[in-house]
Order: sequence, then C-alpha cells, then structure tokens
Amino acid sequence: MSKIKRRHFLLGSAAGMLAREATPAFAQVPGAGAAWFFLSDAEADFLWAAMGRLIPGDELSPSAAELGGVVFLDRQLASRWGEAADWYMEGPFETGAPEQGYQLPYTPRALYRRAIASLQDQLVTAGGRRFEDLSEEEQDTVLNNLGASGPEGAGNGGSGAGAFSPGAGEGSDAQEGFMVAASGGGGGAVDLDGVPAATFFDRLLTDTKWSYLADPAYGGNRDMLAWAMLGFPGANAYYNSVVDNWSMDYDRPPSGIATDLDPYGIAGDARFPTYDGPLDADGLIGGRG
Amino acid sequence: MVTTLPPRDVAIIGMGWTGAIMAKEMLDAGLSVVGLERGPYREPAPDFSAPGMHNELKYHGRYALMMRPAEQTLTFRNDAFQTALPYRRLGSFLPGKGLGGAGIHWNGQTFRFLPYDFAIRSATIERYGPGIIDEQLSIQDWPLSYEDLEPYYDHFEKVCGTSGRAGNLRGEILPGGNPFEGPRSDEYPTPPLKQSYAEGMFEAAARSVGAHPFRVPASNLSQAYVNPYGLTVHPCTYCGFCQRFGCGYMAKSTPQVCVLPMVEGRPGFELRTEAWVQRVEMHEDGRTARGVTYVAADGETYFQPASIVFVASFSLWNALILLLSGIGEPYDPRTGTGQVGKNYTYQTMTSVTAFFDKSHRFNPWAGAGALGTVVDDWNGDNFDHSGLGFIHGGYVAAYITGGRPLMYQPVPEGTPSWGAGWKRALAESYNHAFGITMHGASMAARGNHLDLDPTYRDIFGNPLLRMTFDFPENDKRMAAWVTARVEELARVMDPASIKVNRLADHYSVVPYQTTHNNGGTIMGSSPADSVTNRFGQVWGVSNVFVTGAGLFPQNAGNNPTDTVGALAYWAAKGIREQYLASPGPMVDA
Repeated sequence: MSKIKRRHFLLGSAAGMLAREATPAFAQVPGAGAAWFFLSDAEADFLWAAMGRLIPGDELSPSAAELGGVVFLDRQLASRWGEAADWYMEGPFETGAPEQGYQLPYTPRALYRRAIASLQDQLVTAGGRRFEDLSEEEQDTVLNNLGASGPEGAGNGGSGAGAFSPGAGEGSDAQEGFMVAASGGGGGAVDLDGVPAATFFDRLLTDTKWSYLADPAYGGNRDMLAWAMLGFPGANAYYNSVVDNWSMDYDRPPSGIATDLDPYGIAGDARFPTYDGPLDADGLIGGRG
Repeated sequence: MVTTLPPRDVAIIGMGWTGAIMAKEMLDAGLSVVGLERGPYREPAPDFSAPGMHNELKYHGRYALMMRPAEQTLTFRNDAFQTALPYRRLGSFLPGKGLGGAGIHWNGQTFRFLPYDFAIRSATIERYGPGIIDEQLSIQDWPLSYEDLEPYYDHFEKVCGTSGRAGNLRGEILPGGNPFEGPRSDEYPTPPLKQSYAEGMFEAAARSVGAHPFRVPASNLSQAYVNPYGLTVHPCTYCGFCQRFGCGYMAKSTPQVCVLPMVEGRPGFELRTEAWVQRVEMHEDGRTARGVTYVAADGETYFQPASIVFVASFSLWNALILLLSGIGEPYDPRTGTGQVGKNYTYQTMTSVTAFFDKSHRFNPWAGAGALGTVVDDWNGDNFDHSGLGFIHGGYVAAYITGGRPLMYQPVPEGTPSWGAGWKRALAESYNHAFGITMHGASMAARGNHLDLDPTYRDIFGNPLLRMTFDFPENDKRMAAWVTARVEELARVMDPASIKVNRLADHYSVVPYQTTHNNGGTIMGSSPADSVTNRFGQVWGVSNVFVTGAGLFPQNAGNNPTDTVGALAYWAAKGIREQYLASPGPMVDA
C-alpha cells in the first residue's frame, strides 16, 4: 500500500521530514540572561554598545541599539537561522579562497559567542576595560581595527598570527594598537577564538544594518523610524498611481507586516526587554507576521 | 527497502515551469503523468498573500522560498587547481524548492535570445574570422535556429501574458520596440508597464547617445489578461516585492497562475510533493530508462516505473541526476572527452549607480520585477567587434524592481561602511539614486564544467555536484568594455556622482548575481559534442528528455526563462508528433 500522501504546507511551518529539524517554539536557551532568549547579559551589554556605534543616534534617527537592535539579534540567534538550520554544516571544513564563501564550522550562535568572549578577553588583557566601558572614540577605533583586519574569508578558522599584538602605533594607548594586524607576508588576520576578526565584523555589521532596516515585527527598527528616515513605505502594496507620477513626494507613513501589534510583542524597552510568549522558528513572537 | 509503484506513462522530475508545461502537454496527448517535486505544495493564496509576504527578512534575507543547502547543495571552485568547497550558504544563485520552482520567485524579465545567439560560432567566424574566438572558449552553434523557436517564444509569451512592445513585427521595424530583436510573428499579448521616473531619465540619455531604448518585456502584467488556457493573470500593483517573493496578486506569471490549473486535478495526473528523486533507473543495456527512484515525505523509498522520464528539476540538478544515474559520459576537461557537465555557464553582471540631488525622487519601492527600460545596442553582435578583442556583450537597463532596504542601500563612492557617515549617506541617497545594470553573456569555456564532488555528500548520502567556474577572459574584456558604455551613459544624465560596480577579478559565490545557471546538459547536433539532441532527448537514451537552461550550449546576454519556456513547448510538440507515434531517437546521431 502506498504511503504517499499529498501534503500541503503553509510557508514557514514545517521544514520537511528530511530537513534538519531546528528546535521549535523557544522558551530560553540555557544560560541566557533573564531578558533574553539566547544572549547572556554580558553579550547583550557588548552588543548594545557596539550596535550603538555601528549605527549611532543622531538627528536622523536613534541608534540601531535604541531601535531594538539587540532584541532583533537575540531573537535571530534564538531562531533557526541562529543554529544555521539551512546551512550546509558538514565537514571537512577547509580554509578556502574568499570566492568560495563561508567555510567556518560555526553557526551564528557559536560565532557570536566565541568572538565576543575572545574580543572582550583581549581588550581586558590589553587595557583592563571591556568594550562597553571604553569611550565612544575608543570603541570606534576597535571597530575600525576589526573591520580592517583582513579580507572576509581569508584565513577562515585561524591563520597563524592569532590574537592580540600591541601595535606599533603611537602613544601608549593599548586600545589604539589593539588588533593592528601583524603585517608582512600574508596571515596575521586577527583571530577571535577561531573566528577571523573581519568575519565577525562583517557578520555584526550586516546584522546591525538588518536590525535597523527589517520589519519591526522582528524587534528592531522600532516604530519604523529607520524606514521613515529613508522614505520606505514598508509592507504597503499598491503603487499604481505612484509609479508613473514622476518624482512624486510620497508622504504616507510606513506600515509593517504586523501593524496592529506592539512591534516588540513585549513589555519593557530595547535595553531590558521582557518577553511575552514563545518565539517561533523564524524569530517572531508567537504568530505575528 | 524500495517499494515499486504501479507504472505510469510519464514521470516528471521537478514541477517548476518546464515540469508544469510537460505535464500539460503529455496529459493532452492522453498519457498518464506523475509529477515529482522535492519541495512543498504552494499556491498563491494563502502562501503568497500580503502583507505577510512583504517580509523582506524572511523571504529575501532568510530565503524562505529557496532550496536549503543543509539538505543538498554543491561544491565550488574557480579552477582545477583549487579544492572545491561547499556552497554552505546561499549567495550567488538561489535555486527554488517547491511546486513552481524558481518560477515563483523570479523577477519576470522575459527576453528572447537574439538570432545571433543560436548560430554564435558560425556567425562570429563569418563576420570576423576564427581568430576572434579565444582558444579557451568552447562555444558552439545550437542545433536549432531562432526561426525554429519563434512560434514557441510567441506561445510561451502568450501563456505568460508578457507585457511589451514589438520592435520587429514580421520584418517591419516598429518605434518603441527593440530594433535588434529577431522578427516576431505577433505583438506582445499586453502593452508595456507604466514607466517610472528613473527609466524616463535613462531613456532620454540613451537616445542622446544614439542608442535605441525600449521597455523590458515584463511578466508582471500591465493589465488583466486571459491566457490561451483560459487562465487569468491580474494586473501588477507595482508593490516592489517581486524577486525572491511569491506574488499574492497573481500578477506575476508563474506555473501556478499560468499552467498548473490545467494540470492539477485532471484525470491521469498525479502530483507528489516532498518527493525527492534520487536517480533515473536504467535497463541493463543502459539505453532505456525504467523509471525513477525517489524518497518520499515519510522517508520511504519508492520506485516509479515510467515509459518516459523528463529531467526537469533545474539545470544544476538535472546534470547531477544524469551523473548519479550513469546516463551519458561525464565530461573530463583534461581530455575533452565526455559531454555531461560540459559548457557550464552563468551570467556576467556589472552596474553603475548614479546619485542625484534631493529634487529628484525616484521612489524605488514603487517597482516591479521587470519594470525597466533597456537598450540592446551592445548585446550579441549588434555592434562591430572588430579590434575590440572579445565577442558578444550584454543588454543595459535601468530597472526599478523595488526599494526593499535589506537589499537596497545605495551610498556614493567613498562612503564609510558604518557609522554616522554611512547613515547620513544612505538617508540622502536612498530616494535619490538609481542603478543601471549590464546583463552580460556568458561564453562556454573548456575548464568550466560540472561533475561529482569526491568528498562532500548530501543528506541522502549522494555526492554533491561540483562546479568549476570562472569568468573567461573574453567575458572579462567584454564586461569592461560594455561597462564603460554604461558609465558614459550615466554621465550623460549629469548626476552628482556615479559609482561603478565592475566585474570581480574572479567569480565568487558570495554576492548574489543571478540564478541563471546554464549548460551541463547541452543540446547539439551530434553525440560527439552534446548530451541531447534539439528536443532535449538524451543521445542514446531515447526515453529520457532533459528540459531547462542546462540545454543551452552557452548563455546569451538575455535572461533565460523565455527560452526555457519556448524550448519546452518546442520539445513537447516534437515529442507528441514524432516520438509518441514512433518511440526512438528523434534525430539521427
């Protein structure tokens, strides 16, 4: 007797029997801070500061952090994406050329956990202070050095010269010299416990920008303020009378996929949220979107 | 344990565009058909309904409608000196998974190929002599001409309802269309889309440099339309959520909207989704297929006997299935022997972004997947290549496909990648810039090919497909020259600044470019230089037919889908009139 059944799956629900099953509706990952699904309080503190510098607050908009960036990233790391459910994560893992893309054995969760811990260790070892306790200028220097420390993908998984080399820069500011890549003859990309610094920086920058620009149902872009800044109308759909109205000044407010709900789905604020209800596999609070 | 099922006349591997077309055609011929789709069932309502569909993070950022590398992917290297490594995350190309395949989430750009494309080798030699063709290139003429395929282009465009304006109607050059196109037997089924501001600016600039702008032929329709099957396509709302998204308005031509209602529920047809075909099973003589083996949603393995097998799963996976099934001889670039996997090609993409002051509001979010104005003056052999050192070219278009901000973050040259400077530049540029795309051809080269990876496996334990590809030197020179024309055009518009996005020195799988993967199962005139004849029938295995862009001996400058659809209708007619009456080779080897 044939066992074949015709199945009808709504998008986003089942992943198919043969797919790697990600953990369904999340409560909290063990070890997370009280306000978070995945992040520890210490990681959240780092991200609040870092995301606040990558897209800072000014007259154009609040910072990415103030708009819920850490909330967004926490939920994304708790989601299927955070566990790399759709990525091919079979070995062997080899260092490749940049053209061959990501080859690290780390899920986004593992990447963030390792890199943040290692970065903080190196900063404390070098200058006695964690990232969030540096001045804004010092934080920007660290971020600049992270981003400049080698091409994405080079030395995937640890090329040689490793951790922290106090640089040959001027002054005695250890933070200034932090992570100046040991130059000369390839290698020297700074290593954050197996994660090249440039890879971590690219990941963090992309996730910060996406927190800022994605639908607010995911926890960032609070009140659609980033969309309002750009003039992007969001999930609105009908532009028949706009498209050929050349240079029209379109002034309707943006809308999202879940406009009738508190975009966080939580009580509390972007720095110390409290959550209400389980997170689904996509990173949305129970049933929204 | 493998369970053998009752036999069917036809088994179709993959239910995207060509699977749907072949299902209809074979049902019309009175055959029993089973369609096997590895992915889930999908239908416009509720699966593509707004506002939930307008979720850029889910559908663009997390690729919700695409294949999942965790299940099956491929390995990649630029050349044979490298070790191929897995395509662990989606990037450069986004194959589909699910009923409708990539036909759900395409942009709808519906160009025919040029007559030159079908006779590229002989036409190039005739005009320039053989020396202009690099030794590295393995381009070859198609085994059919533009004229052969024209009635089927016409039919597929009518099935889609494509919106456009003819430029060459039965030999008469018409204003507003493409003067370089091959002669059309009929006008487009619906008129062009409304034109946006950016396109208007581009059109004026193009005319001023002597080029011939026309509207991109769009399968996002300008008006309601009833296709030859009696199926309705709705008018596009310019919502700007086209590529990577499903269309809940049923305004984008897809298998679901344009073909599948003629197939589903019909006596003699059975659709099995979540049915992942592993290979074609052969008789011991290796000359006839017996049917296909697949793994079903319940994890069990089934053998479906069939008299005819269509390998319709997308170019890459079609090559994989032939290799795993032992059909044909794998191509070895070192010796030049074998055909399966040969002539893998892609698309050669560059662009120029033009930035303007705030008095110009381009409203990029009011867009559609094929909303654009284009010139063909630097495509194909439409211009004199004498002394330029390359062949072919690309079309150049101003597209307004949407302003979704995860995808679209235009900032001028020299903008920092983060911080207050980045934010300010983005805020000032987002609505005051637009891009001009160079959509370039991809010539076949001897080293660029597909085969089986020696190391990595999928969830079924099958070897992954291995892709070896880099831009041929010809294509790098072509891209540099045509991009320089784009730059000139951009400057004519008198922008505040421009940013030129040139071709990378080496092809990378990281940034998205297109999902126009071609070749690997090419058609030709002889088994000595191809896998199939002009009907997609595998040489030496008469009851196995391959569809899709894997049949292209090399890629044109234009998008592939119109040619994919036309070839499917062309092959179906041949199969119905010739093969079904008298099964066997349709072309003498």
